[in-house]
Amino acid sequence: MIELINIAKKFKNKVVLNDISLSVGKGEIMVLLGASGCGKTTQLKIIAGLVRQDRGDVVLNNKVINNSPPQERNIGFVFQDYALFPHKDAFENIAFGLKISKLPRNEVNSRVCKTMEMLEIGDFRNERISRLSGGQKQRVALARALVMDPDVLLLDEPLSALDPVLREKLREELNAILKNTGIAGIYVTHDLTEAMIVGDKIAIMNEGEIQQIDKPDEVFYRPKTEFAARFVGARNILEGRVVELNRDEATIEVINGSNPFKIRTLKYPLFERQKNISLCIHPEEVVLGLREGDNLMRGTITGIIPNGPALKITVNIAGLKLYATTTRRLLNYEVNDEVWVSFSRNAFHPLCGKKCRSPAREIPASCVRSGGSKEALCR
Amino acid sequence: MPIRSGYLAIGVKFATSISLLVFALLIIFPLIALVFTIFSAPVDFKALSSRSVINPLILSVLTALISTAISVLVGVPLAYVLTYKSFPLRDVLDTMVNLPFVLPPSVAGYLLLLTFGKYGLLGYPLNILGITIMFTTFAIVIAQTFVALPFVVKSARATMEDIQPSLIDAAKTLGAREFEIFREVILPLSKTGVLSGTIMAYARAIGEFGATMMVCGLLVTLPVAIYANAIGGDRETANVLAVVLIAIAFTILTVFKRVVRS
Repeated sequence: MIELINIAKKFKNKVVLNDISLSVGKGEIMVLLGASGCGKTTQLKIIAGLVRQDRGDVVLNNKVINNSPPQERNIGFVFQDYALFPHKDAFENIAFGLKISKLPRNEVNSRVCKTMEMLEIGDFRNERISRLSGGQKQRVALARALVMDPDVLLLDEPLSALDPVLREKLREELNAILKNTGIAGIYVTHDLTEAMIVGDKIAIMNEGEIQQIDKPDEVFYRPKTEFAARFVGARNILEGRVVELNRDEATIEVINGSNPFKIRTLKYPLFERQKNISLCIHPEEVVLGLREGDNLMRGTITGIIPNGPALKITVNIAGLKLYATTTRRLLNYEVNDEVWVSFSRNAFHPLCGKKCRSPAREIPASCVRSGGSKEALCR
Repeated sequence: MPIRSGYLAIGVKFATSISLLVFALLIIFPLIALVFTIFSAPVDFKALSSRSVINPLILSVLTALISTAISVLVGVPLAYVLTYKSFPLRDVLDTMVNLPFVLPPSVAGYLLLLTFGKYGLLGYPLNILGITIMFTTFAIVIAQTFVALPFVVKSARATMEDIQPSLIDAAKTLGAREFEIFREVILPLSKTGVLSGTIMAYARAIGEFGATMMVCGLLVTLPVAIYANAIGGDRETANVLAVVLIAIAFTILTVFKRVVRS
């Protein structure tokens, strides 16, 4: 199990990571999802010991490893560019770490062959790296990390250099491989679909902060911050004021359109009368053309954009632009048509501001630091 | 527009002609001059086996080999340190390594005299211990190393800087320590730079004249022998020595080109 506790890192004066806390258990895959430059790779490098954090602790199997060099951490790393040694063939690349560990030749051979078989790259054993395709290189890089039997496997956008078809095939395979090995995995990507397929949990990152950690479905359908909502495509954000509270229902006056209108939602604990709140509704939850539902109103279709089998519809309700997603088959409207728009009252969920802060964490009391500079061991 | 491009074409042709002319004056004509001289006073190839040719040749080849070996042994680790380590005064060290590139060889020779001469900074205590460096073969090796070392450092460093940092990071996560990373990753990947640096260092060492002249005493290397024979009027020996040195330079450059191409 790997834990990050209140990690912070600055490069010169730029804050790269701010108060990052997360934990990944054995056999679990955590995906760090965010745009380029949000600190995902730095986070991996801190876990691997390649970059030293300014503050916070990295805890591996209940042991603080802040001062351990990368060589002693037993953490595998699959780099974005694969970082395969170009002067060695596929076998030598995979065997590199085992040979450095001075394992007997027989053991090196059997472990490398076993891993190559598992990843179906046995045929490329003596192939030079420059002669391998992108997908083969990716497997060799994965094999090189897995053959060391690491406690944690870090994958930095491992599929980003591949073409879309291969990427789609490999991300499903990768998920199965990681599940089979039972290693704690941290997977960095900026691709939402990849994150949804590979991850058991997704941590959405923005400007060095984790905005939300949740299961993929929760992140997708219940983003908790405005950034998370926009990142997963839930672009409908309604600014409003609580005007009425009942036992299990609230009435919200939506005020970010040109004409305020009221909607009914479930009651959430953070709702207080007259309090300003932000609500999010996923485009899939915006129902067009049905004259029924908890919230029913008239709107005008202002845009229809084909997106594969789906259509992205823009609809104007009382001066507020909302996005809806529907299949081509279900839509019989054109731009400028009037349409009934409805949402169920449990389709909305509140956003909690710029960042949903997890409570500040500390190393468990059972962990004791030895001499301040050495590793601490959990008793 | 056509008039303007016409002027441009004439300008390009003119510049090309001038550069070819300068190249001919500096490189081709001196070689032609040597060929003329050889034909006007035919080379006595028996002279090739005479001591006045063989001795400087052996001395130059051997001292250049030793100084190149020292340059590689010192230059490759120095290139590694300058590429991968950050420490105070790194830029100063970098400048000092490159100094022999721009320093006149006579100044280099003079500095070596000040250091290793009888009353020099190191020469004096060594002299007390009964060790003399100046005007020995060792002094020639030092002079050649002084001018050859930067070639190894610069060339090795250029290839080391091209190595992707992720390769070194990958080696670290696979358990490799600093020396193992150097041996298994950095050295094999900077092989071309080290090799071409070594070849250029050997070429520079075997052709070294200015600094060697000031520290060699009665010992005579190939370039010194050419100078001494040309000044002393023995043009036949000077011709033979010049041909030998040009042949060596040509061979070295051919090998260098092959290494770079590989």
